[in-house]
Amino acid sequence: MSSTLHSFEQAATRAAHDRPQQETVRTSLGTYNRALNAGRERFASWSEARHRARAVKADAVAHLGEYLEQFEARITSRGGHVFWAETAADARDYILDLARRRGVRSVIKSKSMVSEEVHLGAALEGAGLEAVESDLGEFIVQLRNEPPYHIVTPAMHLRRAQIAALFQQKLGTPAGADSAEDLTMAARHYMRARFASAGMGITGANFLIADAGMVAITENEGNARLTASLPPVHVVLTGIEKILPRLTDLALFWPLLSTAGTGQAITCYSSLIGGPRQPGEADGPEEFHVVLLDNGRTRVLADQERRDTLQCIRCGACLNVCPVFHTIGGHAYGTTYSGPIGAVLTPLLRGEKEFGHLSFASSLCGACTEICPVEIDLHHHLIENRRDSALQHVRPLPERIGMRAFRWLMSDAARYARLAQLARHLLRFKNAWVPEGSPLDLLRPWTASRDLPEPPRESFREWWQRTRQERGGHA
Amino acid sequence: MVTRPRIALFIPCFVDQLLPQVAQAMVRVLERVGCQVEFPAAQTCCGQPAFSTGHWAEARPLALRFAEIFAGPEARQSYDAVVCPSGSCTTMVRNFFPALAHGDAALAQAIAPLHGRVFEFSEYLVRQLNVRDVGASFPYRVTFHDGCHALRELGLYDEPRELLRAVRGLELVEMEETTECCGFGGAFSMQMSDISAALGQRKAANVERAGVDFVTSCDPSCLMQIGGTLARQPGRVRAIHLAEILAAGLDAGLDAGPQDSGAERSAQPSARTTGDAGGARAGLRGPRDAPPAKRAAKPGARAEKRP
Amino acid sequence: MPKGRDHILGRIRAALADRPPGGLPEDVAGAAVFAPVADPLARFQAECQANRTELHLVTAANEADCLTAVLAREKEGGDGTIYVQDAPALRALAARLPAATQTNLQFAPAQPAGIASLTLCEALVARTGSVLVSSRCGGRAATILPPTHIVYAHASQLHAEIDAALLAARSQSPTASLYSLITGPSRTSDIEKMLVLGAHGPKRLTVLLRTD
Ligand code: SF4
Repeated sequence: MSSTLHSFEQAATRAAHDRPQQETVRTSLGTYNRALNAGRERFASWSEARHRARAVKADAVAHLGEYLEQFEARITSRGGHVFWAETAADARDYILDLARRRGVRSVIKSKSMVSEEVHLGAALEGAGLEAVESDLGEFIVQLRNEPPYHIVTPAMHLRRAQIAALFQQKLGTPAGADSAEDLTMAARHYMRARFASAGMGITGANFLIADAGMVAITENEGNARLTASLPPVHVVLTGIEKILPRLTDLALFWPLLSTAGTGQAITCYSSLIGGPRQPGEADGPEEFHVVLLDNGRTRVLADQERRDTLQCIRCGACLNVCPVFHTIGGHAYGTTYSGPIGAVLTPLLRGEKEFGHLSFASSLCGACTEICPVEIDLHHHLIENRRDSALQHVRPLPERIGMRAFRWLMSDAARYARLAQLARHLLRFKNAWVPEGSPLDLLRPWTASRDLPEPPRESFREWWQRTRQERGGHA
Repeated sequence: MVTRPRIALFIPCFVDQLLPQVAQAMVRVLERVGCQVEFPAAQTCCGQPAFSTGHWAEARPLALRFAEIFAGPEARQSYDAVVCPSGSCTTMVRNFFPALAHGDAALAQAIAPLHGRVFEFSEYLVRQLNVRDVGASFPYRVTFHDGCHALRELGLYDEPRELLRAVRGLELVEMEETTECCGFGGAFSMQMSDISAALGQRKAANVERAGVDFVTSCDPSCLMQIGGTLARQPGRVRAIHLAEILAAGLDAGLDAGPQDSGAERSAQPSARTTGDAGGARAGLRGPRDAPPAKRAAKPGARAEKRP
Repeated sequence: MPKGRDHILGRIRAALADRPPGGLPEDVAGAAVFAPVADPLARFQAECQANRTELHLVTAANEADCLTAVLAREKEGGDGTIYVQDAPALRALAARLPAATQTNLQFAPAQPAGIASLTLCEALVARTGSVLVSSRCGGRAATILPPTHIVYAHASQLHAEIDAALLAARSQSPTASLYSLITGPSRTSDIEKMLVLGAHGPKRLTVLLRTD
């Protein structure tokens, strides 16, 4: 058993029994759900919106190379730099080199899952730089030394009282200052000084607009705007798949992302940045760098079946509606991207062997596919991932043998009928003699928490044979 | 000549072995609305357990076998439709066989004639036969659980509800989060049993909160999960398949007859043929008619406690 | 360094050797997706109210009084400075303010200690009740750093849809390094989903909209 699987099982089991945690997450998602339903009403047709969004992103992915080159040319023409990072290490090294060259001592970051993906925070700290997360939720989990719980709402698993205690301990906020307003203002105050002194600002990107050659960033707090305005160097770290062909596509994608992500009509700041401070501009960074990360994405691109996962706009809606995510939460996955998109993408990016089990942590209910604003076929991709796991023989031996036996059993009706009858007898015997859910019970995973129907004396086919066959049914 | 639709029953293996009363009830309802029903005895399993755990190599021969039994030249002569009391198993055949057949020309060819012939039970009644009232009566409060496959793969939402609304005496109560998964998920229920059980408990709690006597569904596997979970809880709600509800009280309703039955297309509602439907005839209480949950197999004890 | 570029673009080309024919839909946000905005000004007003933008409809006759009243509220914190975008329209407007107010105005890029900023905008969007600014509206900091941001706009800048506003901004300020569509004051709901205004950006967003 791989260590990732082992730690997943442990964490998932622990989380599945942690009802208070589930309630915190469910409460937060209840608010989200109401906003989402109201938000969808703002579209003349939500399904048409998804449909067109899928078509646009599919085109973006299908012409990825051309669009990226177009994007790069425009950025370069304004004096910006584009770096193509093949791996996480390439991305980290580029940013660390840049920081050294510019003599940067402190960095202000704004929420970026790609930065989590390449473990940039740890690399910056390792190089002796102070790196502060400016998004409130991200800042909270940073103070707790935790990864984000959710790709959009990093601190959704925490209650206000926990955050108040954390701020008291780490920021020295007064004991009574524990309202959401107090805590937000404490973070604002703390962060203002960091914005002013940072030598480098690092943001992610929601979209890369090919025809405009600009990076689109969506946020509510204004921290990304400040990150891109005050420090002398602005670095955008993002994945190559974030391309959108046209500026005008944002008229669909900004409302779509906001609605799916938080239920808002549009987020507070929807910004486009195309370079450093231009001649005649009052302020702005002297240097502007865009780091485009591959890190396995081109491998996914080569997979015709699951290429559509590169359409993902990281809205987090699939996590929000996922009953498994509700139950085990974001940390149990042990990956940057959790929930349905994480369970689909992580094995593709990082291998079935280490992460294939994530595709099995699903009841395949399809709620994710139903909500996904760009119509990614998420739950079917989970089955395809499972198929690849089986093909690569990374599934446990009992399952592999079991499935062979299953095929043998079901390949012959008479064999199946005889053995199933025997199994019913054995099951009745077991029910009579082995207490349900006891360690001796082979069906314990089921019976520990659920009853199983008492096997009937007569199967349907036996009943049919007895009552119908003699009357001349030709079955 | 008006002919009665000839139906091949597709009875999922676990229904055959563990929940025969569900299949019996479906037979009774189909015959009641004028169908001629056959059970192709060579059938075993559609292969979904292998498919959804990724063992497609083991699933393919079973899909091929299924196609030959239900859509081979002879079957095409004998049956007009294949009807199944499970949204999930219908999904396997309709939506997942094509995925299995991708790149397997022989299988693709074999499954092609299944197209448009395989139906989930409520879907068949409502969409194909245009039947809503089968003449059943069931004087209880009932909530309907949407199985994920029936809902999201087959697009069935109104169909079972329309059937339930036509049942005499039945009060349909929508529970909270009715479209949220019960957590069964096939092998998932055993392999990730803690997660599965937590989801089952949430669903069971929603059922309990609805204040109903029964929870029903188009999916017997969901009902095993929900009923099995409810059976461990102090409440007395029981799980029962839609077909069992539609088969309830059919004798009493004989004179009135179904109101908008597709039987117009047939010679006569073959009510008589249900006379030998064994356990199914005895309704819910018969020994072979245990509703899915085990504790519900002793309905007397629970029903008597009902005020 | 161009090695990474060539490798990635090469892998993309190889991966897409089989790319299916497809097309880019025109008019992605058209009537089939969003019901058309019937009355842009009414919609803008309603959306501003919903997203907590403070909107004042003004005319040449009362705009100076309105701005004076709005600025008079801004006293708390900072050094009292109000940073104003150095634009002829704003200089003209400022000249009509009371002398006491004028002493607090600075026609310069916004600094951290300021209490408010006054800028123009590129366009307004009726559908979402948003203000589209660019780095040509007094710089980048002017529209995000001070606790209050006041926008002086004209009704002719109002567009029904986001795409029209973006295209207008791009033709007016083609070399701007930043555009930002601002919808209400800064906010967060990262703590138990409770809404708090003024997370990192302005706590108050005020629009003076000239209707004459
Ligand atoms: S897969 Fe779809 S729903 Fe999930 S984060 Fe990506 S875009 Fe959103």
